[in-house]
Amino acid sequence: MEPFMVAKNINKTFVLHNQGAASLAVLQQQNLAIYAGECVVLNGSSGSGKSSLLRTLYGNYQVDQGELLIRQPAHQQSDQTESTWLDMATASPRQIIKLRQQTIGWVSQFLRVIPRLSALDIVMQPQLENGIPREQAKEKAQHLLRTLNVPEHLWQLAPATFSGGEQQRVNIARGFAVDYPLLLLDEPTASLDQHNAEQVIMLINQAKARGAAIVGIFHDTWVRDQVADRLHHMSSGTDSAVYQNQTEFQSISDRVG
Amino acid sequence: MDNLAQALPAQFNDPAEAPLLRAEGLSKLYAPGKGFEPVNLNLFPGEVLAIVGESGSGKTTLLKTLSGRLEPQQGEVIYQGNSQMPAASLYQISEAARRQLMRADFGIVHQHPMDGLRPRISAGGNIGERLMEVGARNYADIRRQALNWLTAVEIGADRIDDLPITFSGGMQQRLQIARNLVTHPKLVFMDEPTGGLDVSVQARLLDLIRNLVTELNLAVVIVTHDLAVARLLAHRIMVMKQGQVVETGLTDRVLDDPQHAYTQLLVSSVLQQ
Repeated sequence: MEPFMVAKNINKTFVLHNQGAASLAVLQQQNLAIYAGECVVLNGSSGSGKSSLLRTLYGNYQVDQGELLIRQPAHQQSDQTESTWLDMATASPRQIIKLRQQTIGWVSQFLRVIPRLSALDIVMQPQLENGIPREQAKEKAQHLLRTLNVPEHLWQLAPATFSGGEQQRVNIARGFAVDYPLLLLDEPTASLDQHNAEQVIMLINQAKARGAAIVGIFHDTWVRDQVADRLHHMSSGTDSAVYQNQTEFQSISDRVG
Repeated sequence: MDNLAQALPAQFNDPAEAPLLRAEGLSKLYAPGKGFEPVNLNLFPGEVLAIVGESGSGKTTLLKTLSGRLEPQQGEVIYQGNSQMPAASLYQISEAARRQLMRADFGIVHQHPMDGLRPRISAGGNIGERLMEVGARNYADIRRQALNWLTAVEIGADRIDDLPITFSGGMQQRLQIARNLVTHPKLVFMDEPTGGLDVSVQARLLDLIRNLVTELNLAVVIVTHDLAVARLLAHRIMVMKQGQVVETGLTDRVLDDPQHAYTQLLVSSVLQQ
């Protein structure tokens, strides 16, 4: 099986022009392959670059060096069976926007939305942007909010006044509202109690079962143990499974490189 | 030209992928550093582009030139409403043709709402006038559409016969947006639309603009000095300093991983909430 996404020798350095051109190397030689139906957990101490790597996979940070290849759906008209790859490190803003709309889902640590939007609208929005009919989008949004125990009387309200945990659950509902092939999760269970964390674990496992590839950061070891298929070690920039599949990894590199 | 079309990858032949507006080598300098130096850009249907930068960086001059209201010294602005329409170079077609095109396809939202409204015509009349300009004649129908738009921008139906000068700043701005959108333009230019408004009114306006972009597949060019507005609304961002575009790209990437010294300064100067 081919991976869904391949990160090859990713390097990222921040150069702070207004602070004496100080440079901060946040990612060095990171290699990662992500397959459909698995969850890879980024592992490392605080400051080891977990969030930076996740943001890079989302196209939020510019890759300085290396390739970030994501598999493209085969063209419908042509009968080609080999998949094509898009390098996110060099992709145009429009290509990244399209990927985020259809392919890559993102759950950030904090909810950042237009202040006045209701919780229900926030969860419906990514569906509407994908052309899903309003009624269907609403049904799915309600189902997710219910699954995540967001009280029904809050659905029509803007989340600004919600508790941290409630805001985070609205955020998670939005991330799972579209069946993205790739999901990036930045500590989704950080501010949740055990019962709600279990609901998130269930959603993650359901997404894996439908074939989603997932990359996440989880500090709670008990959550990690229930979702992780592999760990990616930030210190070495690799995970063992990539090297078990070295031949295949190499053949993809040759083809797209 | 035929050969070129065949040589391009398939996506460039997809009508949905053709840019609505193109600027090529566009410049307008009043004096060194006043105005803007050559700018190239593409804008696609359904896309929001924010132009940010400090006062005097040339943002508004660029917006005026892009929207057919200020002739450039060099370069072209090319507009193509759809793949069936021929592309028009805004400053090479006749004045009459340009006005006709702008009336039908462009909306222009001024920073000060009264610059874009008629003070002595009722709110309903302000909206209806634009419909009449593009040929609507049925009074009942015009009034019905005006009422729909007042509701869409959350102005009470009972205010339809009031003069806009009796409205608050936020209501005037929403009325100006309604007046601009009633004719279903494809492209809307906005200059600091949330500038003088209360924070609560600002949020309502952002929500409105964003819904309209999604529902009508509007393309928007918005000039703002507020990075939070740009982050919430814009797909792409263009950072200007002293008439030059110093950085451009995906909005969240430019704001979270700015490459240019000036963008870094701009981003780091915003007060954290």
